[in-house]
Amino acid sequence: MVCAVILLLNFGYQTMEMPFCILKGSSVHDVGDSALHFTFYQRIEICKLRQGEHLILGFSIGGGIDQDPGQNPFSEDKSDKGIYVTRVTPGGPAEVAGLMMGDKVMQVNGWDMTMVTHDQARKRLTKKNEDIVRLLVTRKSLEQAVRHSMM
Amino acid sequence: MPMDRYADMEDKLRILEDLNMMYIRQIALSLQDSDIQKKIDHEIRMRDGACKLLAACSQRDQALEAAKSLLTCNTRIMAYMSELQRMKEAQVMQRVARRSDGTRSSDAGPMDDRLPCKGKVAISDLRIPLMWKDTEYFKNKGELHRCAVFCLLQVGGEIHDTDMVMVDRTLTDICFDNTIVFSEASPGFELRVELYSCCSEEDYSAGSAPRKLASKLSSSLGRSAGKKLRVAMDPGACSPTSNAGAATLLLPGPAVAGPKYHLLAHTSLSLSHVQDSFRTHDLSISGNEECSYWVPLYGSVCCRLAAQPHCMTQQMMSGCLKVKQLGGDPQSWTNVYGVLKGTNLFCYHRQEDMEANVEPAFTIAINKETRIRASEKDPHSKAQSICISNQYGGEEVTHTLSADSREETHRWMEAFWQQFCDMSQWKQCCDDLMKIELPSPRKPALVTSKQGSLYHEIVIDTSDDISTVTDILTQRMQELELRSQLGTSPPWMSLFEESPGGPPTPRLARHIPRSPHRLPHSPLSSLRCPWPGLLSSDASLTSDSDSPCSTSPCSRLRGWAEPLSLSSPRFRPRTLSLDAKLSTLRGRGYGGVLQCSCQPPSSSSLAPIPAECVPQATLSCSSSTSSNSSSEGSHSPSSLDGTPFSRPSSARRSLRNLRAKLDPRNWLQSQV
Repeated sequence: MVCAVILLLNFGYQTMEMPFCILKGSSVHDVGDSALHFTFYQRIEICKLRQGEHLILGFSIGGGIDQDPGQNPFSEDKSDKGIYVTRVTPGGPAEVAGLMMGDKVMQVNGWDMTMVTHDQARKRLTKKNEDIVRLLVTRKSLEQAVRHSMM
Repeated sequence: MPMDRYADMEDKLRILEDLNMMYIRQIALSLQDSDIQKKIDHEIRMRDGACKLLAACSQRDQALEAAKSLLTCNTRIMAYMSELQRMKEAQVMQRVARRSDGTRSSDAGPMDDRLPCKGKVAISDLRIPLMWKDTEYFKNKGELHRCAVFCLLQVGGEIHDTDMVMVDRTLTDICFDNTIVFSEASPGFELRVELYSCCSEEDYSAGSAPRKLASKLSSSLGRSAGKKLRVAMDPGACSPTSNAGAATLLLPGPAVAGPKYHLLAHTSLSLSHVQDSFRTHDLSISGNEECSYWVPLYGSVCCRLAAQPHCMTQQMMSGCLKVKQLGGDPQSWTNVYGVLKGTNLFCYHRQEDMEANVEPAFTIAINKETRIRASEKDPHSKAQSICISNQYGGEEVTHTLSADSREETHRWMEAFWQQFCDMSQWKQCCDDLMKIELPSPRKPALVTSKQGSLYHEIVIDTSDDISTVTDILTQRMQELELRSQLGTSPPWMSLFEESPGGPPTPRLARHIPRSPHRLPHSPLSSLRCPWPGLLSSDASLTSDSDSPCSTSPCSRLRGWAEPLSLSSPRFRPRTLSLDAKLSTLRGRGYGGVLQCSCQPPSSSSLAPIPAECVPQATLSCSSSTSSNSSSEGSHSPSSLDGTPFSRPSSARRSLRNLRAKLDPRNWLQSQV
């Protein structure tokens, strides 16, 4: 049992990419106190829109390792210091690309967003030389949708 | 695929184990010592039991206890194995010596080979001071980093373990209450004290993130299990013929998931450390701050190490004697029944006197100042006599002893020589008899009902300020007042009749309808109801279940009253700080606490926890509560509501954004 779990974990943390979602593990019975969880990701590609001299994406973010996670209305785990989408401008590039409010941003163009300060996150999204940002996001509803479709 | 590999390893392990057992049995058989074999068998059975328990248990403290038993069993098995090995070697050496000598080595004279008597060695009141640094407080903000520790004490082949103690930064010392007695120790004993610790992650609230789990598993499981398996696979360790290999050959059982203890510190105590009072000894610490099982030790251990050699506690020799005091009438031989015990030769008039515990006629001291010699043949009697000289004050007093026959005299001389040998070996232990308290039968882990005063009921954390104390006191007074009003009948009965003024809550009504035929339920609830403050001060209430109503109705109201009547187990529950208490009172109102008394007073984002794991839950809740309150500080009122935000309307949102920009402590949002 032990061996199986370890191997599974190692496998899981290689984050092998599958087209639609990444399976991170299966719920095994008690090892210690908790079980592993499913996490589903989605890739979203946003083309920046030029508005005057700014390139905008059309959403707002909240969170960061320097922020108080307890005030995050979208996180399930109130100690999660990740970056969350708090607002999506209607009709904006983000909404068109499929980003939704409450999504947690895991990566931006390959850069990790789970362990960044708020300002670092903002900077990674607003680089002037990039026209397109590719986000890796996760959301609860997505997970549920996939679960339902799998059943 | 991975399952096959594991099954393979399991098989290999089992085969190795069987080989081990065969080897052990062979040795034991050749030594004709079935005693050790029985002991090893017993320990192996215990170990299997511990492994099964470890695999089956789900609660952390059960797992820690099982892991502790496992470690103890393993150590014992290793000790027996090495003893077997030594005996085997000794036998072989003897055989070789005999063969080369050609003659059997006879006893080389009692004088040279005299062995000192054995004795009882007791260690008690172990206390290990800790040295927490300031950084500890800042490192783990609100969460208490806890470790489970226990001591393993070993003298020769006898291994004992102490109880397990949970250590966190509120403790200044690790105290072990156990008294451990080793019954057959030689004066050259070495008492090895080993301190083992294991990190105990505090219980996470429901729904831990996969990341946390991964780190927890990989650090507590992966390395240790992987290491064990690697040892199993390593062919080098598997040769049954090598002596060194024999000890490591018996692997610590099948690799089990669960907490693993590591050696944190050790020391060796010997006869020179024995004293009838507390002494401090140095500890050798292994491990460093980076280890998960690290506990900052001050570097010493205080304990009371006492020894009672058998010569001090048992009768070494007894028999009829004729005693004459030198300087007296040569004919004034007194017939006595002499008993040599400790540092005295007690002379009773008759043997029956000794058995009846009558005071001896007189006592002759036999201590390290005494001189004994065999005198020349007394012309009046046929046997040799023994002269015992002592210094009493400045005076030398000599007694002459005469036994009935030469053999008797010889035996008495032998006894005296043995006594001297013992005293020279046991040194300071023979000056005076040291007291050893026999360990009392183990107290049950759950203290059921605490009787007594208000003092025992109050759990006061030193960090609470005086207002919290008066807070608690007033609450208790109210409770007591009500109880005293009730008189002799069971309180809950009278309560019902009196119908105390407590605010009934909608949730309470939902659960326990206040209809007359529901008599048994409502009084209990209304007993609880008027004092929400009491209840919201979590585990401090659950621990003192001495309220009389907790006996009768609680036995009936299983699901309901059970959490209340369960006392807190080994851990002392943490009381809430003043902040948290106030905020719980403010934020929650009354009813929510009663819904299930195991529901934590704050942080209702936690799912309601089933009643079985209540003690754990109340503890984890209380610790998480205190952590919440300490980390959130003045934000506690708002964060203790259900969800911090409801879905805000756009107007409110923009207003909030403006406020957010102005207030640096709030959660920033940026538009990209």
